[in-house]
Amino acid sequence: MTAFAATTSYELRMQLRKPAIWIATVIPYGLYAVLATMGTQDLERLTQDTDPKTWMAASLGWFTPLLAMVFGFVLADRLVRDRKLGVAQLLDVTPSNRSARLFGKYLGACAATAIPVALVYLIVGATFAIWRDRPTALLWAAATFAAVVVPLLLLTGALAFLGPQLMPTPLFRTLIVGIWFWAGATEVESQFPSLAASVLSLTMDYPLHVFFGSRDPAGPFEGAALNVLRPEPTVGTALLSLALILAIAAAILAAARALRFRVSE
Amino acid sequence: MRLDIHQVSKTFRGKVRALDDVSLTIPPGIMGLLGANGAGKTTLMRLLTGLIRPDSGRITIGGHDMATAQGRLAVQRVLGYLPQDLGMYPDLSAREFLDYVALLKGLDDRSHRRRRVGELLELVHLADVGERKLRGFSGGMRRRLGIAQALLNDPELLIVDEPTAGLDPEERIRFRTLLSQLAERRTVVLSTHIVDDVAQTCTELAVLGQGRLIYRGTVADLTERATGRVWSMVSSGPPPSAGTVLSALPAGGMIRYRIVAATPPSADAQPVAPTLEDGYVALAQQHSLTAAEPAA
Repeated sequence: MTAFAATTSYELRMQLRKPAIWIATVIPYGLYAVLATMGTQDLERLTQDTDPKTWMAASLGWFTPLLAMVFGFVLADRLVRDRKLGVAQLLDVTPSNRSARLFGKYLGACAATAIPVALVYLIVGATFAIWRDRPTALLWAAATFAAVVVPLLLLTGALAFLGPQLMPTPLFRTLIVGIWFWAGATEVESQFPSLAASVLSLTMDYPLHVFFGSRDPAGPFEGAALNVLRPEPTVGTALLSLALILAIAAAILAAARALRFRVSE
Repeated sequence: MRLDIHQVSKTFRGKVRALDDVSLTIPPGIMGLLGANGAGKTTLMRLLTGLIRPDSGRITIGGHDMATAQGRLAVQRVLGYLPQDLGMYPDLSAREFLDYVALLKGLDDRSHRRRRVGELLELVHLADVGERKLRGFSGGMRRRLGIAQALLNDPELLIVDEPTAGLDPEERIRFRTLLSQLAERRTVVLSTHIVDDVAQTCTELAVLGQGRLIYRGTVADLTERATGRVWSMVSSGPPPSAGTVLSALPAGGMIRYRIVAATPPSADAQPVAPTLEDGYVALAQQHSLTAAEPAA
């Protein structure tokens, strides 16, 4: 077994044993359930929707803003804790490949963090499939999860590997809330330069809008700052959005790797 | 495996000169590295493992140049390392932790790995708690597990930094015996500030003081250095100001002092046979290191 596979497997195991990742999933989805009983206009629209694709997209659109914050919170300690626990030096003197170890740790931690969300989202899909007698809802659940949650998780995971190396972990956790507002939750019409509804949005507006028919906005807004990042929503720009998010995640992860091993190399 | 350390210096941020022009050859067998806290022992251990690089000088281990990535990798393949501030993942069991480190050390064959992990858990007397999470382990148990992980790959070079810290007397004796046995066909570098650990396991030692090598030779020669400088005296008053007091034992309303000093600390002081600890203190006095914390 390679260092990559070993680290992925053990990181997955350790992260899944952390109560925080289960709690952090239950709270946002619990809030969602509470909101659902309050009968908002969005919910009425959702309950009338019979198309499994748009229904899954709409339900995911409710969660993604919170997910970025949740992922950032639960992943923030994964890399820096090796040094804090004093394990880093023990692992660094093994003949294992350092990049493989770091990448394995990243994927293992991200995969473990995704599992509770995936389970809940599967339940949501199954509920719709049974309620509307539309089993394809499960396929759409898998597709929206892969196209929206996974890239979002990979980006926030990379941020969580870099940020706490540059600042204290609690400060990073606070900052991720700010990033969440700036890159997804702010009003697009605002003059404040925001990444909401852009190709870099943390709510993944382009893939949600183009591939899954989400009604959430994507594309240029008259008078909004940073419209250069809001081309017309097309398949090309949705793919561009995904590629950009993944490329940024890769660049951030490379920086995290350089920083992690800077002292000893 | 022979270790050659040639004119190595290391300064950390904040201008702390941890090692200053240290040259030392370590032959196969066991070598004790003695020094007070802050003498530079851990820095030297970290340099030998490839965790940090020297500012100047050269280290070769078994002919491998530690300045090159290939050299470090070659050494790390045959290295067992027990760091001073050993850390572990609290969410893993002892068996899982060893399995993970074994995988990183290249023990790919599953059945061999499981057998090796089982053997080492037995060796360090942790087999019955192998499935228990590490968060519940005491300091001594963690130390023993640290020893086990260092031995996973049956290393040719074993570097142990303060290995007996936190062990109870019985465990300490057992570990010292194990180290001596391991040294029969390996190179073992034992860094410690506990003189007795060196006295009981090593015939050769080096002493570091304030980042410099102040002694390299045999345990017997270092002990010999204190001949004529170790005194025993009984007093009811405060300890004598001359020399270094090594022990103070109550003796029928009085106190019996053991003192290392160049001249008798009092008229009734009697010369006594030196131990390694006396030799170490005498050496520290000669190098004006007595202000530093003496070795235990």
